[in-house]
Amino acid sequence: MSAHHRVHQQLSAYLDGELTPAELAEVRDHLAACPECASELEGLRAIKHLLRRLAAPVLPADFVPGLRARIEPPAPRRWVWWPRPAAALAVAALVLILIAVPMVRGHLDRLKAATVGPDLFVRSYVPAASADPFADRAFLALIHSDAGVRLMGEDPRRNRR
Amino acid sequence: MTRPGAAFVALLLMAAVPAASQDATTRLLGGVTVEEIARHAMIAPQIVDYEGTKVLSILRGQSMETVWVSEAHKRPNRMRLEFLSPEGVAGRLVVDDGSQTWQYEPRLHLVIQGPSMAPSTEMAYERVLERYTLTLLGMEEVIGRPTVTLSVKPRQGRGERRLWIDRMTGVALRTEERDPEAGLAAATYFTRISYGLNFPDAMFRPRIPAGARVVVPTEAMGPLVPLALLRQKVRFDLQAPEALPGGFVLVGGEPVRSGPLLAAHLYYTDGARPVSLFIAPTAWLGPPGRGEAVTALGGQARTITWGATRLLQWESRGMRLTLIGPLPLADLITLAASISPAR
Repeated sequence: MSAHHRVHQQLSAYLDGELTPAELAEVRDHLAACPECASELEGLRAIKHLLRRLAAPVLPADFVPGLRARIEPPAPRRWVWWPRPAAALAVAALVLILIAVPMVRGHLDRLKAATVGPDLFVRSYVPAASADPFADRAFLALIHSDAGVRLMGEDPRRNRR
Repeated sequence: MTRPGAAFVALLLMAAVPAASQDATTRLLGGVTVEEIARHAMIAPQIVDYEGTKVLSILRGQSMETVWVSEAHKRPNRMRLEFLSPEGVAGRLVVDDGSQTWQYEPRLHLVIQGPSMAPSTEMAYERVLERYTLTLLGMEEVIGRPTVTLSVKPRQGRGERRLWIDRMTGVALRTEERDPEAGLAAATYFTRISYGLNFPDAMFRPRIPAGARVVVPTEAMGPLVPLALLRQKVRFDLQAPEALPGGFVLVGGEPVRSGPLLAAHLYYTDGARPVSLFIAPTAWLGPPGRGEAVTALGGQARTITWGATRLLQWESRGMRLTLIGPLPLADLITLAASISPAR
């Protein structure tokens, strides 16, 4: 960058008194030798003089409250009782699931109970039958345990894999 | 001899022959009566520990099944069974600590918990014996031990149980169940037995294998209650008789629950044989799938056989009824016929 370009960019800072002593000395030396930069400096000085003469703008009455409102964190939203359509659909689906799942599960349980009914009864019969003093307990335990396996949905005589 | 005189002599002879026979039996048993032998057999589980290997031969439908099991008993009412054969049941372990039963199924890695199968230790032996006719059939050795062979027949009803009772311990080393329909329906016998005292408690404690799932398929519903109280516990109109033909009287009932299924269990006995009646609304159940179809009770019924124990299931007026007991099928049908018309 040439000295002319550097001084040209520092003219505004020169007017505001923001240059270091070394920069100040360089700008003064250049202005004395460069009519273009001297003319630019006078133009800048005139504009700054005009800006200082402008009156300070009056702020609107709601400027500060509005500014504060924008700076401070937003207040929590009030609950809207009328849900949005998506939320309404979600709630409806949840209610449907809560009602439907027990119904379907109950139906499946009943289907299962239908197939295991006799074995459930055998499981209850055997403890009562053990009151027979001449009954063989190993025999009772066999039909009792077979019924337990069937209640689990398995064939008690299926060979191991 | 006049006719009245001949009749008197005949009556004397009829009375004298059983008495003479009883005396001979008592002499044969060394002064011990048949009733005392039977009582000894009934209380044996309370006074002796044993372990052995037992073979069960059981009529299932039209065929006999043979099952081998290792059986251990600790007085008064603890039991441990390890099934050895056939392949389908091999490894099954049943432990009964007198209050609960645990059944481990290795194939499923599953423990099934349920009520105890232990007989009550407060049994009215004299009343039980009154319900049976006891006959000495002979004395013979079973696995090298002297036994007394008894025939035990219910005074009312049919069927017979034969017991080979160890003279020293009272344990039945061999049993047979016969009924008029199937002949020999079930037989059990020890191939070896050892008696001992104070078997370790650990043998009769359940040990849940690591990772095994524990299930309780039926809920324990408490002690038997009178019919009126049972009606309040089940959620359907329960109609059941207080007595059945053949001297069976209602002892009490309990609700039986498994998942959503709720049934009423009514327990009858003639003083010796147990008969259970289960009633549940048909609407809660699907069509019965198991068992052999039989034409009875004005329609189709189904039956399942385990030795001399049978199940009969039929429907009447929106209810499914199930009778289970150690009775011939014809006798179960007679009981069922007495129940359904009342409904």
